[in-house]
Amino acid sequence: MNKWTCTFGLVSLALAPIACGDGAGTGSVQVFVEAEDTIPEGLSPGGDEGIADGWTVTYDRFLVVTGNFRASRSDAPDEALEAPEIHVIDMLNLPAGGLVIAEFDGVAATRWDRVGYDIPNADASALQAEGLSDADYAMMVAGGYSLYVEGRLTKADGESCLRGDPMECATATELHFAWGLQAGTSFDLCAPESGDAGFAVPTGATAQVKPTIHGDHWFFTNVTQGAEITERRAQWIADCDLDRDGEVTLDELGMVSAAEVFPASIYNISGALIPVTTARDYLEAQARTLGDFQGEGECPERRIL
Amino acid sequence: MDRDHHASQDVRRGRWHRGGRRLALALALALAACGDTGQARVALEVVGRGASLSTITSLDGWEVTLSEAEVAVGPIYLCASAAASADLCPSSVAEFADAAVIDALDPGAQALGEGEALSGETVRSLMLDYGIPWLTTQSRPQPTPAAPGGHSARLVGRAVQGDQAIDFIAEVDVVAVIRGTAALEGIAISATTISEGDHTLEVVVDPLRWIQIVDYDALAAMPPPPPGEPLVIAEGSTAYNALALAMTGAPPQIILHE
Repeated sequence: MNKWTCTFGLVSLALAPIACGDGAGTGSVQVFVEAEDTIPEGLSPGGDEGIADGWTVTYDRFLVVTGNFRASRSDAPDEALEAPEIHVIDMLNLPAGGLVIAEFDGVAATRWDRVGYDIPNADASALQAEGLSDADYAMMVAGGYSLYVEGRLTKADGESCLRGDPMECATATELHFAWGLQAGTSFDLCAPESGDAGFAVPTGATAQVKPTIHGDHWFFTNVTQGAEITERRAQWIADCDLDRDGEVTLDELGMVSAAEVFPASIYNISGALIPVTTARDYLEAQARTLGDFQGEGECPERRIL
Repeated sequence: MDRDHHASQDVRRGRWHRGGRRLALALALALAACGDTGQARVALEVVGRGASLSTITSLDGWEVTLSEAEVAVGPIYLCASAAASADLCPSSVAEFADAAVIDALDPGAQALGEGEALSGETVRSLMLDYGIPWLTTQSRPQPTPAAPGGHSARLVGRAVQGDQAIDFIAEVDVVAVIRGTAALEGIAISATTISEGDHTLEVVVDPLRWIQIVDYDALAAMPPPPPGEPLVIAEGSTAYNALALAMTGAPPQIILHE
């Protein structure tokens, strides 16, 4: 039994007494962390949910810190499900059936309508999830990252353009990025894409609950609050390769004014958790929205950790 | 809260109709009038305020003074949901359905109009337009009569650094990028429960936060305007983008109180 399995097993036992409820029957809850398809499959140009400006996105590494799952009920505020462990997870190397981060037995068979979890900055107390390499775990903890993404943008006729009069563009058919971010954020009031908030536990059966990590939000043209009514664009990242070496660094993103790469006719930053004055700020603001629920559901209450 | 998570399929397809929100509130108010819900319609006096200062030092070290600053605000929809958006807030619990212009250099109370709210509801977030809403029934965003010159904001000022001076004017449009949504969404406010008395909705606009981030060094490097005329911060320019993004990232402060 690895470290995280052992830990949540103990948590499960510890929580069982407080989870038992009103005598109306009980069931179980299994909490998985799931990756949106955009993480293993990347993003392609075109289509309703593709990249509008022609870039293809491929992720080579996508590491995230997730945990502190909690659920409670508006009709019984004293009852709670809590699994405070934090896990460092390789989203490109998840177990085939998904990564279980918590299980609860003897849970009142009713709706648990107040659900949340965290994507915190890593520290030494974080657990190394199954599938994560020792080196990546050490990097995440040493950097205090909540998220690390590495990948490529490709476009056959791609360009990287420096704003100015006139604008200076150079051929850029492939760009690499590797970004570690300290963007710890909590996500609450999670709800599935349709239906009531939270999840329902059936009597004598198991409810599967899936905090879902999305991989496309920094390509959004706005900071979505609910349904992802937006476009996806990647040109801004290409334009931030200031030294034209094919590597877009966080330092470069920090040197580019948001006003230079986000035309106001296309982009909207209302609802961002942090002030957005540079391209790096935009990346971080969107990184603070990655926590979703049951696939395409949302967790609209976000707070900086 | 649950109803705030019930997004209709229409919303998810981007066909949400903000007229529907107004209808929802009207219907709720009508029901309230029958005495069935325990809720009552309360009046919302909407008041605008501007900044108490007119000068600020920009991020690149220029002293910038505004001589005119007119900003249109409205419609404003206040929501029970933790984050206001077209699908999370299909029906508002308080609203100012009109739009009005604020003299953003006058910190005194400026009457903007009246809205309405439902007692017993708790407001947690809001969305608003800067005088140019884009309803799903419209092919493009349409300025309200309140929008100064048909724009969201009109800012006139002078930036000074050493012996250099730039007189400028900016007429900025901040509109939703997607039809049927508001220009500003997901704006959190302190949770406030609406009681049965009349309420005041204060809208405080500080244009100095917006002009502070403009790159005045870049403006100074531009070809000068004809003598006696101000430099026009043109749509599509980096300075214009800076202002428009700042207006979405640094929204008006909204305060609801009895």
